Amino acid sequence: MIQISNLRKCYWSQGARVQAVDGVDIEVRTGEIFMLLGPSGCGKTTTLRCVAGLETPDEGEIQLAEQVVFGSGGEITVPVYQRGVGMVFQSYAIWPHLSVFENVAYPLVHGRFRIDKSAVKDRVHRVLSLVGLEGFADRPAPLLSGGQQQRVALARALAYEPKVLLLDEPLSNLDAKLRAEMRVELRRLIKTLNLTSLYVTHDQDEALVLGDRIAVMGSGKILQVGAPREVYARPCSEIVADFLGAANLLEGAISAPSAGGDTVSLQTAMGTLICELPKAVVAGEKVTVMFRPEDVRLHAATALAGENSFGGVVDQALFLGGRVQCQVLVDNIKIRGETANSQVYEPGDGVMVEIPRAAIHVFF
Amino acid sequence: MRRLRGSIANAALPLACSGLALSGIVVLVLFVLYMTFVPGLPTELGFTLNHWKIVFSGRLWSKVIPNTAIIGCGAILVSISFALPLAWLLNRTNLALRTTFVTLMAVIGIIPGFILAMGWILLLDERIGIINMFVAGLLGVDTIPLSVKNNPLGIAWVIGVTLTPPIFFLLAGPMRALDPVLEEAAAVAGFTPWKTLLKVSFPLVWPGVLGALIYTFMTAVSLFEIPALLGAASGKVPVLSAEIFYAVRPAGALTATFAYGAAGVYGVLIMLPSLAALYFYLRALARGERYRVVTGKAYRPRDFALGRYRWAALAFVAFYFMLGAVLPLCVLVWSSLLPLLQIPSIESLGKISLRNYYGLLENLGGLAVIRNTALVVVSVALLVCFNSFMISWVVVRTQLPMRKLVDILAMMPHAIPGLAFAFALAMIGILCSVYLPSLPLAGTLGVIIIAHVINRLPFGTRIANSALAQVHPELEESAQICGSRHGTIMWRIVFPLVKPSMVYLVLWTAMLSFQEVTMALFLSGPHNQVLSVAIWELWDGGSVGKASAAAVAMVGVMGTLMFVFLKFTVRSTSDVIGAGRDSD
Repeated sequence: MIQISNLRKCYWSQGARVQAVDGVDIEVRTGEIFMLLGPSGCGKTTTLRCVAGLETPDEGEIQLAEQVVFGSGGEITVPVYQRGVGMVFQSYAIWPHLSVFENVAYPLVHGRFRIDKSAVKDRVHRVLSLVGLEGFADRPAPLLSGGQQQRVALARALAYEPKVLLLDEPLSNLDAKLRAEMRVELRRLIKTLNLTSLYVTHDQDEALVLGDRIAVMGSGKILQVGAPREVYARPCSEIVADFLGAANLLEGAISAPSAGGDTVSLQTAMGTLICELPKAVVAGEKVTVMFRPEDVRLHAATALAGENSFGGVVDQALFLGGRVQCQVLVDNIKIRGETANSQVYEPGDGVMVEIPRAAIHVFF
Repeated sequence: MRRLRGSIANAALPLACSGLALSGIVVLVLFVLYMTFVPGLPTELGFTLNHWKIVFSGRLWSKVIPNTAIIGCGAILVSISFALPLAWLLNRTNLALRTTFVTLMAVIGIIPGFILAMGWILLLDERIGIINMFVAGLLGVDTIPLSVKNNPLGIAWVIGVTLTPPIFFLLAGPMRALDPVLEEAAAVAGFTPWKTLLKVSFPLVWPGVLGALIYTFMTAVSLFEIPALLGAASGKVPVLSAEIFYAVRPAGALTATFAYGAAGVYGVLIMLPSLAALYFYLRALARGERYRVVTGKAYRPRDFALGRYRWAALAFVAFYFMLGAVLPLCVLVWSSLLPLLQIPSIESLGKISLRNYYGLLENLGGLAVIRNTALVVVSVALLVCFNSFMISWVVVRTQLPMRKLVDILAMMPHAIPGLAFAFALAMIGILCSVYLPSLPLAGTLGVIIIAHVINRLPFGTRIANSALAQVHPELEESAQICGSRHGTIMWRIVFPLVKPSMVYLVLWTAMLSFQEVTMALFLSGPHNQVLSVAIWELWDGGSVGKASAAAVAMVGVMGTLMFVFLKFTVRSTSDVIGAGRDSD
């Protein structure tokens, strides 16, 4: 279990105070993979480094497996080398002067997690086979590919059987295809070992695929926490919606009041949108309307105009292989939508844009 | 505050070591200043301004400063007119045998300056110079008045020629870093190759050139051994550095008066312009950053095709090698084979013998000199390596607010002539012999070692800074995560990673310390003579043939050391490059 409460940390950068972490509360349950997702500079890596002990927070408390490692205003500060966490770094931090075996054996031979000499060899080989690097033990570290170095870093972090595993954008240096493979493999491995993991990434796909729960961070604060599906389907603000997945965002206003639970109509620059709102609103209230491109339906211009349908002109059509991403101009408002690659639209074609009721999110 | 305390505790050993070394530097500099106000020996109390008055009313303005200025500027002119074309020819053109020439430049760079100066005396002295004798014989006159001796221009010439290799290597960096894309862009825009060279390439390397010019000036004015051999010792061409030396160690030791205070004044006078020059040097370097062009991975310098000028270029390179090493060394070999120097002829060939080499070891002072030299060279190399590593650790690896100051302090001995430090150490040695007899400094090897270590720290910390900066901080952090403490990490992770650079540093420092003569001579006593000092004294005593023989032997040893050096560092350089390439 990892428990972080009210964590704060600021930096001085060129004479200006930067609040990197601003009151973060996180609880990672035992055996859970918890993703910290956010744009660069949002404080996710600083949070992780505070947990590892590489940074000293200004305020807050951190517990690792029931032990307070930082707290009481800094009275308790367990040094890095005593925290017993495993960590995978963005650069992998494989020591280039050592072989694969020596890299993985390092924590077992030097320092606090030393084990009996006779057991080292067995343990290293077991961990190496766990990450699929049997037979690479004697290879000098610099002679490995990126993916293999990533595995060595993981093996080294697992070798001393840490209580928790911290991962700092471990896949960001791999090429796209390998990254997709490693996501699945990493999740399988962590789940097999039932490790409590805190995982920092700026890649939303990675967060969605790998995580049990996701926390979206922005400007040093946690914006939303939840299971991947939940956060994707019900983002709590336009910032979360925009960062997790693509989003069409429109300014609007409620045009007719509602008592809650029934349909309301929204006035936007594109036209009037009908959607369902669970809460009571008053007419004239300003809102932001969000719907995802994959929910937008595109029809031929000749199709019958139904509910939430607007005529528009295709501005851009990007062929992405499996699907086509279209940008449609409706009254000079850019709407992004996606179609199957069997539907062929060219720029300049007239189309009918339909936004299903259920796809519309309203933020106040 | 808590953070600060934490980082101090984490870097206790590096902080202690750099604190010791740097406070030593500061104390010595202040001691030079202090000496200018002490009436006589440092053990005598009192305050006087007389030394300043005496120095300023003497020949300072009429002779010392003009000579020093002529030598500084002349040396710049000579060395830059060799080094700039050479740096361009050997780095950016398609000249044949370029890598061999670069290696030869490195070899010339380590030939001790005083040995080359001895060679130049044998070539161009008014009375004994071979060239003078030859030309005078042709013209049928007794002597011709062209001489490197007792002539500030001659001194500037010899210093300029011997300083060319270091300037060459200073210029090679910016020359190589110059992105050819910029030149190609000029070519596309319709510039001719020669116009591109003048309008694009040269302005881009100008900050580097300026830095090299300032460096040459600083080195040239603080050099002692070459002016001393060529006229300062006799008092005919007094210069600042020699004034310090002969104020404390007058040539006729027993009868002369010691002028410690005056030496201090000269020391301060030579420090001030050098510190100013250091400031401009650092500024030139910083400005160089602004000109730096980001180069991608596919960067490959394009060589300038010399075409029909290649023979002229080769001739130029050969011309420099003749002047820089071949002529002075050949004349030394020739002189070492003869009882008395004369022009090569059938008659003189008959007199050739190895007699000057017989008993060479005894002439130099026996096994003790060899032992002293080995002790100095080995301990200086190791101490410089250790201290540089520790200082750079504080500068590069901690976030402490004083790290900038530490870096600048470590650079200071670069601006302050070794002679000033040697002077302060000698004075402190006198103090110790009176007040602290248990700490013998005066006349020991220890004091020479301290002087050398301080003198070499700027170079050492430059190397160690860049080596440490290349070790990614995550490599250390991951070791911390793995449960090891700072000492273990330094020893098991960081040190092995910077080892190639440290080996380079140890070997290079050893070679420079082997050939150093000024500080060792200044601090020498009956029991701490090293090889370079022994050769100097042979020459000083008038045994030209024997001194030549010893010089030839010394260059032979240096050549062997250089060979070992190149063998080691070439291998480790490729190691470093290999590691760098695979880790990104």
